Amino acid sequence: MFRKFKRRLGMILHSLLPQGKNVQLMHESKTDIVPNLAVNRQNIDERLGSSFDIVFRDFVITIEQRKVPAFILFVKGIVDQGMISDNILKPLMYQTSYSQAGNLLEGMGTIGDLIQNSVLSSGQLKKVHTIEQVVDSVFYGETAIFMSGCHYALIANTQGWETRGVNEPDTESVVRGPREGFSETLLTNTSLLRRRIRNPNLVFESMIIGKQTKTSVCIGYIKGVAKEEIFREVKRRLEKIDTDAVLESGYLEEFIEDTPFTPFSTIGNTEKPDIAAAKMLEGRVCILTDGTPFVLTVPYLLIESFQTSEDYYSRPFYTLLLRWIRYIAYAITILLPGLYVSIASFHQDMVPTPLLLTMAAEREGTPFPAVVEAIGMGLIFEVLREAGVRLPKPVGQAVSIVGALIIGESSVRAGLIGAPMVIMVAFTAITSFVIPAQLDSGAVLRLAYTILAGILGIFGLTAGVLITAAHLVRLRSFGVPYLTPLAPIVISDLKDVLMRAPMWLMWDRPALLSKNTQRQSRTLMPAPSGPDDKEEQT
Amino acid sequence: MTNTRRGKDILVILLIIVSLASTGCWNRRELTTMAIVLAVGIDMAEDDRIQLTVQIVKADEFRREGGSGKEKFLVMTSTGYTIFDAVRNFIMESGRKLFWSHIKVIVIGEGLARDGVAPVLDFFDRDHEPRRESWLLIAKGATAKEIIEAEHKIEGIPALAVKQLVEGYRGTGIITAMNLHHFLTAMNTPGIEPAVTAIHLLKRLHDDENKDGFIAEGAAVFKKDRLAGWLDRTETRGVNWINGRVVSGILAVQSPVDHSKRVSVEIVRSDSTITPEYKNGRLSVTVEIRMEGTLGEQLSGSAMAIPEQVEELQKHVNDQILKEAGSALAAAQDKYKTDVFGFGREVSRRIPKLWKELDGRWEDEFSQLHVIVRVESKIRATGLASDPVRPD
Repeated sequence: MFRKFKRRLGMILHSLLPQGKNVQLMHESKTDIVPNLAVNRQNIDERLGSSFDIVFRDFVITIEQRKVPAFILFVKGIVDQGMISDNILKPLMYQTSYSQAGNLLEGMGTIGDLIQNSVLSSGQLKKVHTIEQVVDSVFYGETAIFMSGCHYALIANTQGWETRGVNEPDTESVVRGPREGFSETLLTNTSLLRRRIRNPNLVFESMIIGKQTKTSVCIGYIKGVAKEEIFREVKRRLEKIDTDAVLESGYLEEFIEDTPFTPFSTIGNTEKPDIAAAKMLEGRVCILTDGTPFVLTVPYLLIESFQTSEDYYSRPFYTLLLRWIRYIAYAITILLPGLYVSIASFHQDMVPTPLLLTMAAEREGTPFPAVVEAIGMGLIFEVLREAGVRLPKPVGQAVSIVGALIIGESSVRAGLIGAPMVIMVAFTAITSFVIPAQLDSGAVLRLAYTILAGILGIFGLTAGVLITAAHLVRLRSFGVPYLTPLAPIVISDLKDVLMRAPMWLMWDRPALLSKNTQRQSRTLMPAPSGPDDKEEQT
Repeated sequence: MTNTRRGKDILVILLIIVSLASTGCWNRRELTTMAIVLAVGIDMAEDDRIQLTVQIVKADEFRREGGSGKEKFLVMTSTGYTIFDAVRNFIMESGRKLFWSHIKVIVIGEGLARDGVAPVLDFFDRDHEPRRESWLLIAKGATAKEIIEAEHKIEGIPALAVKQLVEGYRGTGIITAMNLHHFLTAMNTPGIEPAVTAIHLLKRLHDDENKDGFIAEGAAVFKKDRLAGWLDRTETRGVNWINGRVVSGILAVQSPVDHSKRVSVEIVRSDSTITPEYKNGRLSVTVEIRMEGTLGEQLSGSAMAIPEQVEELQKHVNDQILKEAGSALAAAQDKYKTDVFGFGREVSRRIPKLWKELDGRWEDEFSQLHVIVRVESKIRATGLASDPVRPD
């Protein structure tokens, strides 16, 4: 039924889109580079216009009294100018005058070959033949070298810009575990992953997405662990994206989701390389986007919201407790306001008498029905949270004072809101922070359940929970059921759901995610060496 | 989309609508619009009416701050030709609708109880709000209204005090705790009659107008739904011994070493079996009571820890229990002719053929019934001391 509804909705949305798929913003035409410098320059000018940060530098290469006019082209600010002057200009202007020019005389190729082979010491150097390629390259921070008489340009890698270093991310702080976080630079991010998985099987495939932004996006996976069909599906969905801009991985997320109409996120994100590495080692695929420290991981299952990296860094016993606290906290955060509302407005017979008396005492004289109180306080909390996030940190203090004192304390004193409601909203808020990954689904479900409970009581709440359960069972993330390993049940994977099994018991990788599920040998349980293991002692 | 799929969709939608519509009583009501009733008293009034007295919580007084220190409850009285009539008449006085789900206590006045309680209990059985777990009590020598109005010294709300009295004392056997459900079951089961906790006003009991409060003690014995008479605390415990319901309490019996002094035996557990036997055209019932206890206190000056003395003590305990059971049997069989023990039910279970004959005339049969009581008690321990406390 919902599927049908969604299909309808999709059709409506589709009809709103402009018809005709040949909306082409990119010019397909290609302009070849010609030996004439002035023509090349004019062609480039046509495309680049008059941006102040585009630099042409004319100079002359002197080889055996032959003077070859040349110029280089780069974009200020994204290149390392020292590198250009040391590695490109200096060798070309001075070293050529006494270099092995004999090669040229002996007819060993063009000037370009000579320069590429013997003069320039740049690590990466390539030839391009069209102006378009040159333009694309210079916007990546590369430098183009045009020489008179050559129908190609040399592109040297001279990238260099101000970056934020590798910092500890604010979003996923840990007590134990690495503090490094991804940064905005794609290459830094891939290097952070390479340093964790030093293995040729770790593959990064790159692509460009965004007609205007031309953002580098990189798909990372471990060959032999990740399922090919999942990787291929990721690639297929990414290739289909035909949009203007990708400024953050969130842009990609919405284009490649399995189900757009769900409060549950079916694509995970992380700011920490150790988490990304761990997910790849379980067979997941990472999508790194240039310009954001948030790396996407797919497939993303519901259970991942309840797992933290620290679960695996600390011993299993406390982790067991914490896991269950998180499950319970999530249940509380979505159900408690609805439960309270239904008890206060429908099922007063369900609570023990002393509790009912306390509730009745606090509700006495309050002007609003319980459901209005609950929704109102929930919204006030969301407003406070949003204000706290957006404000600069020093001002944030003021928000919490206003929130806690004025709204909490005074509204109860004034008899506008019952005290139990304030306690409940506060508790709900705190529990919602236990599972940051489900913050958005939690807020949506909480509101929906509160409204349902306000209309139909426990019955409405139960109906809401059942509908949510049905929806969750139907969700897929890149073909993998969202509730795996609970539905469909995968007994061996429950070791990381009901508990966090000790490392030596984690024999297998998640069954539906990875290709080759055997992770380690089954005889790794630690034991002190006894008389039987004499050969080990010697 | 195929036809069957559409059919399925419609079916699902229909199911949802039907289940929404068929959930029965659905009513949103805010806590602030209702008055929570904790106790209700039922009396006869003139003109064939029923008088209802309710104890309502004043929710405002339960606030931690801002309570004015006044009484936490309010008593209201209303009359009507039926219970529901009286219930609805309350609204004219209270403004709020009474909420019946948290009734802890239903008190029935002695006068009404003698006329039969079945008609007035129908409302509490039929309506969806009241629960059948409320304790039923019969006011002895008082009207239900007087009991409901009486204050309690410790508990702010008397209804909660009554509840605690009943729940705290039911194990000792000096009352026969019965909630509405048990009462209705006993009333409707052939071969057993209900015995309900009696509640007294202290000022009536001690003939002192200055005494406040109430006490739950003894039992009201019913015949069908009519009050037949009263049992005192010894007789009540006798009933409970025979039914195996005494699980705590104290037996003060004669000391085996010094006959002028007494010894406290703390009851730890007890149970009983009732075995009817039909031999040579004569029905008899054997009651076996087993009791376990510990020596809790002794007033005599000599040590009492050797097995012979303990055995002697067990005999005294046996005699005491036998005496109590005997007094209960005498009251039920001779005085009131009502089977509060459920011997008849036991006969109907064990010898159903015989019960078919006896069913109509069980009342007479019961009063003539030959009952054999056997008691077996065990003193398990003698406490932490072997020698009594004495001055030297």
